[in-house]
Amino acid sequence: MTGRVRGKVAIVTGASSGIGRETARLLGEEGASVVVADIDEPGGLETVREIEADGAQAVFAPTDVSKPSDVAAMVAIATERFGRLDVLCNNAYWAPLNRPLVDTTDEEWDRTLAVTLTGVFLGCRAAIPVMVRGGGGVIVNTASTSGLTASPQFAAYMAAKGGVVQLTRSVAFDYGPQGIRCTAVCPGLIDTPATAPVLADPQRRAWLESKLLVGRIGVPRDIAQAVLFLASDESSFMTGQMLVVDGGRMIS
Amino acid sequence: MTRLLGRRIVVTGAAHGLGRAYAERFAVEGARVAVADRDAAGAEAAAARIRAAGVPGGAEPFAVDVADAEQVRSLVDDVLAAFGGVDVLVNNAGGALYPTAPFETVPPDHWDHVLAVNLKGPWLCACAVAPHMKAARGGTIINISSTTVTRGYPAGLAPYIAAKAGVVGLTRALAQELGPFGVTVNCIAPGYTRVEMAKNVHGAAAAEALQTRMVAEQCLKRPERPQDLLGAVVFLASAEAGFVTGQVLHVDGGWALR
Repeated sequence: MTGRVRGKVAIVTGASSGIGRETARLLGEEGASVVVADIDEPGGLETVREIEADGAQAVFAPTDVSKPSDVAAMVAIATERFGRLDVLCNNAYWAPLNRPLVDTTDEEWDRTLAVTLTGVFLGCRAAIPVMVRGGGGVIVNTASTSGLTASPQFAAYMAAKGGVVQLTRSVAFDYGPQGIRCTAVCPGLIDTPATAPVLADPQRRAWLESKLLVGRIGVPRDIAQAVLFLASDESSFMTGQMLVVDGGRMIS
Repeated sequence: MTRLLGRRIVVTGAAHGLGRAYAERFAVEGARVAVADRDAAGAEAAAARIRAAGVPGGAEPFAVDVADAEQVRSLVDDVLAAFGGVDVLVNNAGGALYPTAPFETVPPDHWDHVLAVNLKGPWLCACAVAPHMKAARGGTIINISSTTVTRGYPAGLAPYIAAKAGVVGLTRALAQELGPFGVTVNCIAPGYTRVEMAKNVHGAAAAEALQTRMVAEQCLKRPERPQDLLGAVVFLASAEAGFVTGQVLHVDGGWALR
C-alpha cells in the first residue's frame, strides 16, 4: 500500500460486485475510507468485509441510486461516519442486454435512464455542496465506450451512458472554479458478473477477444486502477476527461 | 513510491523543462531512466542531478537529435547496451521552436524543422524501440501532443499544432500495429505550462497574456505547472494502464471542453 488516497473519504455506488467492488477495495487499499453503496445488501456487506480485512475502514449504505432520498442518505452516511466527502464514484448502472430499440419496453427504458443516468445526476447533486464546503472534491463517473461509440442492440444503455459523458463535462465546467473535478472512466468489455452471460460462450468470448488490440478481455482491476488515478491528486489538473480503458477496442 | 521499479524508460528532450520533470519523477518511482537530449551537457547535468538525489531509480545521459534516424538507432543501441532492454519510450522532445508567425509567413524550412522534431522524431524513436518491445512481448510508448490541437489556438503556431495533431494520429496507428505484440501506445495532451521555451516563442509579455487567457478558459482556474503532468505519465508508464491503448489524456485543467 502506497497511500495514494490516504485520508480521503470515498463513496462508490454499485460496489457490491464487479468493477464497483474492485474500485472500493483498491481505494481502501490505498488509504481511503469507503462508503460501499448498493441496492444489494449481502454483496455490499461482503465488500465491506473485504475492505476491512485489508485494514481500511468501510461502511455499507443501502442505496437505490435512482431514489433521491436514498442518495441523500448515502452522502449523509459518509459525512456522519467519516466526517467529510472527497471522492464520489458514480458507478451503479442498469440496462437490458441484447435489446433492439423497437423491442425495448417503457419500463426497461425508464429504469435504464433512472439508474444509469439519473443516478449519476442525483449523486452529483447531493455530493457537490458537501465537497465544496469541504474545500473541493473529485467525482469519477463510470461511463462506457458505449457512451462514445455504437454497439449492437444497446439503445437505452448507449443513450444513458452518452448522457453520463455530457453530465461529466457539465459538472467539470460549472464546478471546476469551486474546486470540483469531474472525470469519467469508459470501460470496454470487462469480465464481471454482469457480463458473465455474454462471456460464458467460448466461441463468443474468443470472437470478442479477437476484437481487442491487447488480446485479452479486461478485468475489474483494470478499471479500478484508472479510477484510482482519476480520484487521486495525481490527476489534479485533469477534469472533464473521459479515460477510455478498453484494450484498444474503440480504435480496432 | 516504486510503481515503476526496474522499468527501463527512455525520455527524449529530457535535459530541460517537462522532459526533465518526467525523468526525475520516473527515477523517484524506481525506474532506470535514459535521459536523452540534443543538448549533451544538459542531459549529463540532468542525469547527474537524478543520481545525486538518492532516489530508488537511476539515470544515464544520452546525446541524440531525434530527427536524425542514424542517431536514434544509435541511441536505442546504447540504451540496450546500458540497460539490457527498453520498457517505456516517452517521446517528449519537441516544441514550437520558432517565434509565433502567421501561417502564410512561415518559411518552409521552419515548417520542415518543426515537423521533423515533433512528428518524425516520435516515429523514428518508435521504429527503433519497436523490434525490442515486440520481442519482449511488452512495453509502452507515451507520446506528447498538445491540447492546442483541439482548437487550433493560440494563433501563430500552425506548424506546431499540425505536428501535434499528427502525433495523435501516430499514437493510434502505432497502437493498432503494436497491440497484437502486447505493446500499448498512448498520448498526453498538456495545456500551457509556460516552461522556459514559451517566452522565446511568444515573447515575455505575450506569454503572460496567453497564460491569463488560458486560465480564464480552463475549468480549473490556476496556471498549469509541469508537476501537473507527472501523475498521468507515471500512470501510463506503469502496469496499471495495461488495458489502456490508443488514448489521448488531456491534462489541461479542462481547457479543451469548451
